[in-house]
Amino acid sequence: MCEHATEEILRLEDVTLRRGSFLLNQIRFSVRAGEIVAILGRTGAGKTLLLETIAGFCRPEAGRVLCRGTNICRIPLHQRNIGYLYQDFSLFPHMIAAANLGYGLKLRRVPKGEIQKRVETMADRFGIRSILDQYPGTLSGGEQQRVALARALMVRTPLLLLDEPFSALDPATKEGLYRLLREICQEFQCAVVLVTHDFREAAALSHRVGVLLGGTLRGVVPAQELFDAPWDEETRCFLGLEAPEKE
Amino acid sequence: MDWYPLYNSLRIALISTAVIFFAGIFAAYYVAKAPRLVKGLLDVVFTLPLVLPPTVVGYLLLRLLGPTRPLGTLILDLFDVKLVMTWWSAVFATVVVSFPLMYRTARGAFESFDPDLAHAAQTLGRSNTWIFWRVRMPCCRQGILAGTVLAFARALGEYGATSMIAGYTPGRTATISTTVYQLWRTNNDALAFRWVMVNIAISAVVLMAVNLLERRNRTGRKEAAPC
Repeated sequence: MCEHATEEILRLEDVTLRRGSFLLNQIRFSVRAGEIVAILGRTGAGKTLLLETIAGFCRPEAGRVLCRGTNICRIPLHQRNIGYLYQDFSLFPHMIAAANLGYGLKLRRVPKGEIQKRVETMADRFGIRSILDQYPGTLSGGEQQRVALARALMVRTPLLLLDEPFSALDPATKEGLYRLLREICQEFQCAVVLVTHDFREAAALSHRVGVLLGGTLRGVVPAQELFDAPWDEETRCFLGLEAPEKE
Repeated sequence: MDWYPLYNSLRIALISTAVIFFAGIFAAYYVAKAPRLVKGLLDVVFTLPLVLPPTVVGYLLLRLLGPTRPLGTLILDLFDVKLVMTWWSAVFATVVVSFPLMYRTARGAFESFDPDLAHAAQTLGRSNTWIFWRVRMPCCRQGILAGTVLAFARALGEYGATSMIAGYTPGRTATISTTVYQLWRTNNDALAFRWVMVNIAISAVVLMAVNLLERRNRTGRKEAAPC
């Protein structure tokens, strides 16, 4: 579990963003180093939009996104050093796994020998050494996910955003990756924001869970209190704690 | 046998393919991202030469670049360069006629590109220009390559617009296609047939080279997933 003494990596202060008729409304929460926060919500609740706003794909109309105390709203996406993992992993299909891993370092002009050394160290940590010379198309879902995670962490990112990263995987692979994610989160002291619609996944993987419904964050509570917290009626319905009212 | 038409055709086709490669990619990239209305409008403009008869394209080019027309006069006055009835006049014709093939194929490739790949690359720390050449282009390489080959083949075989704007002057503006027509018109069937075979051979070699390149890529990448 995350210690309160650890550094605060991410803080959202009343972040508001409109997309057509959808409103992401005054979102506020924070994540500390080594902590995993899951954001639960239905499809269309604004989970991905929230992650994209943190990453910099969209700029909030109001509020601030602070990373290590600095407002990053005006910093270009490619200068934010935030890791982002997609549901389909988004590995570059024209590069072998090793090149995918080394991509971020190559951009930072790290010498070739150093890149190779760091790629091999990271590959050992993630158990993907044997597949380094393979193209993503030849890898299983679990292997692709490991490569994608390792790639994001190669650039020493303090913040990792995961957009339903385990939804396409089988239960056994998921379990292994949950364990791995928890370990690396502690080891690399990075803050993780994970969006999912899977209650079980949110409770099993994260330290704290937030519920996002209709663009509004209904609260963020410790994972073990997810089903006991004093939620409003709509959230209780979403969590299956209360039957929806019949009209 | 005078080989000038072969040299001239290859020169014109290579230059116009180089121009079309960059112009087609540039146009395709921005049109693929443009709002629907702008996209529809630009699409019509860029594709028009594909459906217009080449003689119409030639006529329009003559109206634009002819020595008595404003642009032709301006270039003639400023640089003492004639834009029609020279070998490079044919480059204008082949660029316009072949451009839609590159543009449409590249646009299809860009539209099927997964934008998440570009986003993932951005989060790893690079600007759009770098990502365009190192991620988007390699992922769309099949479409780009196909467009380039089609544009080259079309430029090599262009006749209508070329004959109108560059004419047929042996040893100066003659290309394989204009030479074949002139030889056939003057009843020199044997030589015309020889040039036809040369044209077929070049096109076949180009297509085989592309297929070989593609197969080598595919084998090298085992069964890498398409973008």
